[in-house]
Amino acid sequence: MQEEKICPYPGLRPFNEEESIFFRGREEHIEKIISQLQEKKFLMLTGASGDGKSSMVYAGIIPNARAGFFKAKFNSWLIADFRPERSPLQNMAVALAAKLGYRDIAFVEKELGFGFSSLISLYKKSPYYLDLNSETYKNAPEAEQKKLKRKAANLFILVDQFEEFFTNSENYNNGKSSVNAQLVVNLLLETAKIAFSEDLPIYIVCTMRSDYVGQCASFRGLPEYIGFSQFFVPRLKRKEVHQVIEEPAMLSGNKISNRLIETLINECDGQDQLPILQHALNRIWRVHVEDGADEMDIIHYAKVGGIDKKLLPEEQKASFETWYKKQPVFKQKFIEEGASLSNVLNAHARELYENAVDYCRNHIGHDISRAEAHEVLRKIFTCLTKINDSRAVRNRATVLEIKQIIGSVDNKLIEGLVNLFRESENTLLKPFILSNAGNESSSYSLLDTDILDITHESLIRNWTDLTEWTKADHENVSIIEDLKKQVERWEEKNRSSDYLLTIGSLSYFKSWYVGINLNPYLLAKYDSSNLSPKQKREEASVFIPKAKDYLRISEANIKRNRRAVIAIATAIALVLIGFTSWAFMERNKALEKTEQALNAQRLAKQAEDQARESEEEARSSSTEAQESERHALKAKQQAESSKLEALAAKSKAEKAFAEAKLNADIAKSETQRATLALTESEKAKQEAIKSKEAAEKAEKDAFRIGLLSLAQSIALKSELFKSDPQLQGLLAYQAYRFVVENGGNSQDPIIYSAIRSSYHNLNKEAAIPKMNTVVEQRSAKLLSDNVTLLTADKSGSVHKWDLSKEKMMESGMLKYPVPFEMLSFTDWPNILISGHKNGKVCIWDISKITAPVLLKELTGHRGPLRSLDHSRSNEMFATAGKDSSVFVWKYTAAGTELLKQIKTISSIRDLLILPDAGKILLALEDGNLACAEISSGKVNMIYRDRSAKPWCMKLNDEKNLVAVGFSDGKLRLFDPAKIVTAENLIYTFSQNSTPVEKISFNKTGDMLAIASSDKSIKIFNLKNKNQKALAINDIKSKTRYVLFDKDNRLIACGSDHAIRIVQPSTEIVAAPFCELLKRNLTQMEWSQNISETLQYQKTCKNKE
Amino acid sequence: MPPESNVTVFLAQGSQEQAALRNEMSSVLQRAGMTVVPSEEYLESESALSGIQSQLNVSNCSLHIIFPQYGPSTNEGVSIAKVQFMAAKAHLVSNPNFKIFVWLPPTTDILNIEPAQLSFINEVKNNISKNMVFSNAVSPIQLVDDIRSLMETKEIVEFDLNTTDIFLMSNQLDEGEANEIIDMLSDIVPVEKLNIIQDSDTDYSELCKQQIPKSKLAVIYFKESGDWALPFAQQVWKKIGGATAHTPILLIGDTDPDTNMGKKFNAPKVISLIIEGTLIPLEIKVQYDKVTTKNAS
Repeated sequence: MQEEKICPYPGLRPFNEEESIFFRGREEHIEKIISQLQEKKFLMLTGASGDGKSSMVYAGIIPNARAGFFKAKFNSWLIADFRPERSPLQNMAVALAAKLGYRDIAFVEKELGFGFSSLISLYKKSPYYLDLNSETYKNAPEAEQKKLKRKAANLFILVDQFEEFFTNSENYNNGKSSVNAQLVVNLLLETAKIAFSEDLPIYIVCTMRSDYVGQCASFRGLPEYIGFSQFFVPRLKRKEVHQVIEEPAMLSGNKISNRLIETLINECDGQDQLPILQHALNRIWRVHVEDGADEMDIIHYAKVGGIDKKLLPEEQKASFETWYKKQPVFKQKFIEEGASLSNVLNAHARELYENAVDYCRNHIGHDISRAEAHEVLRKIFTCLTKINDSRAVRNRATVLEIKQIIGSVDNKLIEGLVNLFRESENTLLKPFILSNAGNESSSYSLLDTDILDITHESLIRNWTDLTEWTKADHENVSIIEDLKKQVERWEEKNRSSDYLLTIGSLSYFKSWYVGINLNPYLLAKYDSSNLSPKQKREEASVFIPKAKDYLRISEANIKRNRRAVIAIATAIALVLIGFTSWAFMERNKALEKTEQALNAQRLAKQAEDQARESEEEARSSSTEAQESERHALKAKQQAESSKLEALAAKSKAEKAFAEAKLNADIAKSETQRATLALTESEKAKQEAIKSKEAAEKAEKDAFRIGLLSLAQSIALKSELFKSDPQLQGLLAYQAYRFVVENGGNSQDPIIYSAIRSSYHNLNKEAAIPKMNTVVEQRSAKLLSDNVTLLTADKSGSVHKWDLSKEKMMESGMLKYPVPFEMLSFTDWPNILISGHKNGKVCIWDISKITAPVLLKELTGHRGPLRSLDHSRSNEMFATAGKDSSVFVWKYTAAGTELLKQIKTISSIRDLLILPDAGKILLALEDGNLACAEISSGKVNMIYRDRSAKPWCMKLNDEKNLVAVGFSDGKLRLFDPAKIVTAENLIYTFSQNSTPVEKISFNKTGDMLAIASSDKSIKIFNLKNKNQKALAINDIKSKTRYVLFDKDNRLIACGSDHAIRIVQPSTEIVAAPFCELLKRNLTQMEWSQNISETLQYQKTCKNKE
Repeated sequence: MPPESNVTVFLAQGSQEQAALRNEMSSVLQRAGMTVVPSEEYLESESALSGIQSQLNVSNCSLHIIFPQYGPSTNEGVSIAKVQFMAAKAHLVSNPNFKIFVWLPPTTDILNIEPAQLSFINEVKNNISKNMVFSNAVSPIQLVDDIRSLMETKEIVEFDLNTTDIFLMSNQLDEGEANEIIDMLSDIVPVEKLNIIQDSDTDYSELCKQQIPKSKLAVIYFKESGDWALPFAQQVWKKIGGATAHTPILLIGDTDPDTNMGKKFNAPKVISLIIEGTLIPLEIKVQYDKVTTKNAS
């Protein structure tokens, strides 16, 4: 019969005691820990998240102790383990009562409440304590002694996840620990002290994430004890990772190929490496069993989404393809997208998320839509996470708490959706469903009191959906805080309408409010104060109706205002209509007069024509008369008579002509009058049009301001649609268009943020940095061609990049045996200066990047170097370090000499040579900003902010502004010319709240960028300091170095080893949007997301 | 001065163009206290290949840097890099303690690798054997640190132990009963015993690891020490190689007290039994016979 195969890899959860047989790779460390614990009775085990601290205790120290490989007084061990969670004292009491045999937990809790030796007393009063020096024991017969020894036990107290003393607001708030937390720590420390001095068999181990060590100072005596006995879990070496992978397989009778081992080792790097590796191995093992394969191999790794099928060995490609085609489409997508070690976890979770719907339908016995099931599942997982210090962490919650937060779900539905995640082959969610229990059905059911918990935080960081949900949840916290502030202000001002929301903000808050189902339980979850859960809910119950009122009244106010605007506009329109009517009447009158004049003119003309005819006749008569006269000469009497008649006719014609002329003049005058009336009418008309235009402009201005406000609201809203890049893009771009078309500021931070976020979502390729290195770059310099970038990292590598191609052109290595602490490019041709851990300063010639040459090694500092700055003009540079000394050096091509050594009272974090080169500005670790005079060596304290330390400094290219970044995130500008006087502060930017780590000015001096420890980059407008800073929040790693190029693009060197080129201009980022967008908003999307009343328009004219 | 490590590395040579990286790697190896052979930066002619075997013979491991170019070839058209790698692989067969390190610098542009070289890389990657490491360490320093830790040998205290048939381990709480069993067994079969004392300074873990392979059957006996026996058996099983161990473990407990009933360990190469105290010596003999019969067949 073939033996059933054993899976030796636990997956995402830690190893438990039973699985210690497969726990490998940490033997050496466990030996050291046991030795330390035997001697000191106490141990603070610290390490990064996912370094296997819990596994080391449960599958290393405890089984070794039980197996007799831990030197102690007795054979038996009582393991009292607990997590602090939200009630550390109660949890400690429960754990101790169970192990020491006390039935009354309340009694134990009360006893422990006295602190100090209380825990020792409980142990000594328990049946497991035996004093080997007591007379009773010494005088007892050997058999009795043996019996007593068998019964006695060593006490091992394990406080797992000690950081919960800091991550739960009930234990720690505003930098202070709660009374209960202080008490538990007091008990632990006092017990350890007494056990050490009296050599009692009590051992205390606490496991804690190393990033919380600093916060331990809030507990009296704890830092000292950590100093007394601490073990930092080292990162596994290659050899040990090899053991972690290969030996469990070997021990359990499985086989794993060497090529798979090497592939996994090569990928095993960074945070969460061990849980992700264990999870991947578990998945690989299951797939290889399903395949009936003898050995775990690369093909199985590809089947779980770990490696691209193109990289499979040739002989496995066909087999993989056959299998691949049989998989559901969604699974094909999950295993292909970004195949890597961490994708195995992502693909697994995504697959369960898809499969959970059908599982749920079977479980609850009726249909549920996919969208509804996914929505509830999203809410459940969101309940199980929270944000602590800007980090997403686990948040254990009972089934009842989840129901209260989500509302309208029952246990059956929750079981149906989460059980797949709990099953023994998945174990992404606790409590697990154990397949070996025999009676599986019981564990499938969830009671209200059952606590759900994400198995490991690596799931939050690697399951892309969950990462997005936690981000959105984090945004909810910010929105609620914002809304709370607004409501409070409104209440403080007696609900004044001046403090109500504007149309944009209302639209934003309202759409958020509708989608979130705000209730006291949800608000209590978001509340990070140290109030009790009940108090939090009570506060929330008071707030919710106020918030509702606030939104309702704001909406009513906006409607009222809108109505008023419409009324005014109508009134203006009526006045305009009246005025226009009058103008028309006047015009008509004028036209009438014009017509009359024209008639008169016409009559005059007729008269003139008649006169002209008469004149013609007269002329003709005259001619005839003259002829007659000539004839009359021949006939005397007839001619005399005809001449007299002709003269009379001529006189008559002249009279008629004069009359006609008079009539014409009258007509002309009438015409002029009519024209004048017409001009006046036209003038009145123009004035009426002007008035109308003014009214229209006023209305347009009101409308324009409304649209700008709406644009902000749409921009914020666009962030809610990240899952639909097209819709997000359309909203962001429409917001941008509203701003641009209505004369707004396109560099508004909200618009920029929306456009940038959407651009990266639409064009994912653009979001991926093209310039990557293997070590993070710590210094950079852009050459004058604006294209060549030089960078250097702490391993001593220097690189030359071509920014136009986003490609590394050359690289070389600064060969120096001592680790580099800092590096700095200088303005001197081809010179780079490095500072080292041993205090040495090296000057390098980097004219040939591929082969840098060490020019000079300078000695003087007695400790690691921290900062370096060089004077641009007179070839001088200064170095400073942890030895509280500043060394000023003179550099020339001929050599380098020490000019001055200056001692300070505190070690130096950063230094800056001031423009006149006679003074150096120092950022001291004690919080002072000081100025050192090089000639005298005198150091004057010039500025101090009691709540923050100066962190870094930068001088602009014009040398008339010094920016100093502080540990509380503030950025202060000083005038370097007056820096030594007391009144030297020019301006303080307060828009940042985490330590400023790097500063850069742009070439024209009107922009200033800072990189902060919260991973954001903020850009301040120095021409308009009141303008809100542009924030770049989507870079997921810290920026180690930042600088501007001549085109004001930002070059950021990240801790993820990438060098990014960030475009801080909204206009440039928005330019290709219509090419990236495939459609326009639908009418429905427009009315839902833009406005119901605003007329629909195409966001991109060239799209349907 | 770097610490001496007594490790000699055969650093494979390449073309003149590839000499810079090899040279850098050589410097890092030497600063980590290792000796590098051959000392020449690159191969000037094919004839130099004849010295490979003698260089490998004085080395503890070889290091092969993968370049994107196939590089100079022999008259048969095989690259010099491949020739050296194949020689190291052949050397590994006859020298099981030898190790081969292949380094593909992460800066290598996979898309621009010459087809012949890509084929060589795939051949290496898909045929990794024991004691071969295919690394993509980010820098020479990290790679050399890996090499150093992988070549490190831990000093182990060697116990003075005898080869035996049965190695019986028990806890001091059951010392009396264990002695009785040993008395009965030792008349018919050679037995070595180990009594675990909780507050002793002896490194029991290492002692068991060394003694069990020198025994035909490892027995863990318990009566009153049930809480100790199961974890002890598990840790010992792990120490000796679990399913791949040569010597089987018999975890045998007395039915008295009845809390022992659940103390069983199901794993490959483990026989786990709870039986009446008086039958235990006999059962051990039965299991011993089964093991020896199986080994003989």
